[in-house]
Amino acid sequence: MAENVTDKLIIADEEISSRLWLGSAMYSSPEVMLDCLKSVEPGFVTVSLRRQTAHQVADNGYWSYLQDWLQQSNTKILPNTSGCFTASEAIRLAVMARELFSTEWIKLEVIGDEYTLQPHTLELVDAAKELVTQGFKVLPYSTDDLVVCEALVDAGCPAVMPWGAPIGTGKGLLNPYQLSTLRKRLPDTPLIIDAGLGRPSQAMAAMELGFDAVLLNTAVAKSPDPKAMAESFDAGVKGGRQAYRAGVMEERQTASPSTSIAGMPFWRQEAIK
Amino acid sequence: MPKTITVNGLTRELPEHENLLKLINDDLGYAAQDNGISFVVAINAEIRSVHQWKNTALHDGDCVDILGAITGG
Repeated sequence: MAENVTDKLIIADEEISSRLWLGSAMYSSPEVMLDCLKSVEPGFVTVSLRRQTAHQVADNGYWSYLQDWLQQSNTKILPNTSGCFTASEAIRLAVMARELFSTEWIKLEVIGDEYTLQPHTLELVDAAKELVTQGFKVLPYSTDDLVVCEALVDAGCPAVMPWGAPIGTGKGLLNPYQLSTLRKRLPDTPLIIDAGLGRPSQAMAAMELGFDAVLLNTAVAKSPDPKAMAESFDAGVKGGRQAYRAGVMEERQTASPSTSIAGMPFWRQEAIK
Repeated sequence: MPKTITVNGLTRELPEHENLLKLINDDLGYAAQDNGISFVVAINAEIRSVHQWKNTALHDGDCVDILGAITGG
């Protein structure tokens, strides 16, 4: 497990300041986005890059706000390769992201299906191998397939980010059994739930399973009160982590009374008669 | 002889000896911001860092991409 006695989250030899990671997209204004980020100081904030005109570059309020704030916070920037459908596209975009954002961190996304936005796991592994070779700290957005996640770890990814559910659905953890299996089979790999979380309780459930962090965007950005929702997710993540460390009880198939039955008066008196 | 290139997917004609620096700064109007360069440039998918712009010649058929930061999830 990527933790020590003080429960720090360490990935690729760097301390990540929070187990809640947020996207920067879809906020109603740069100010709203910044309010959310300031209120929870996420471990990472994700960004991306696209073709832009000179005017768009010069008048980029969101990026300008983010840049200024990142300089004074513990939050790290995490560029993504969103929109890429092949390993070669993702590699090219990652290289450009490293140049633009001056970071080795990359959230590697290679999409295989436009309808579900399911990762293309074969291209993903190929891209991860190459980017690790080029010195990137690759955080791959993956399915919850154990063999794929193991291949990503073998490729040199310092953490793996399986989906809870398809991006933007808010459906939560669709396959808790598989996610638990990942946790058990990859005990030393930081695991981050990326995508599909809609409620703080779902983030808490992920943390209770032993996941190391969660990454989400839509659920906060599209909330009527994004700052309050960010804070709710933060509380859920912290609560879930604390519960995992405290030791969540095993489920049982049969009921078991909490209160002792020893010394119970009138215990089955009618039966004795 | 003028050459034809594409910039962010749009076709553009350039004078024969125009280099990347002139294209970026003078023709297209990209400029460094107070907090540094906020965009990245690639020719035919190969990055050209700022210090390379002046000595980077453009050739007929080149594909120039100029990317800036956007929000993302």
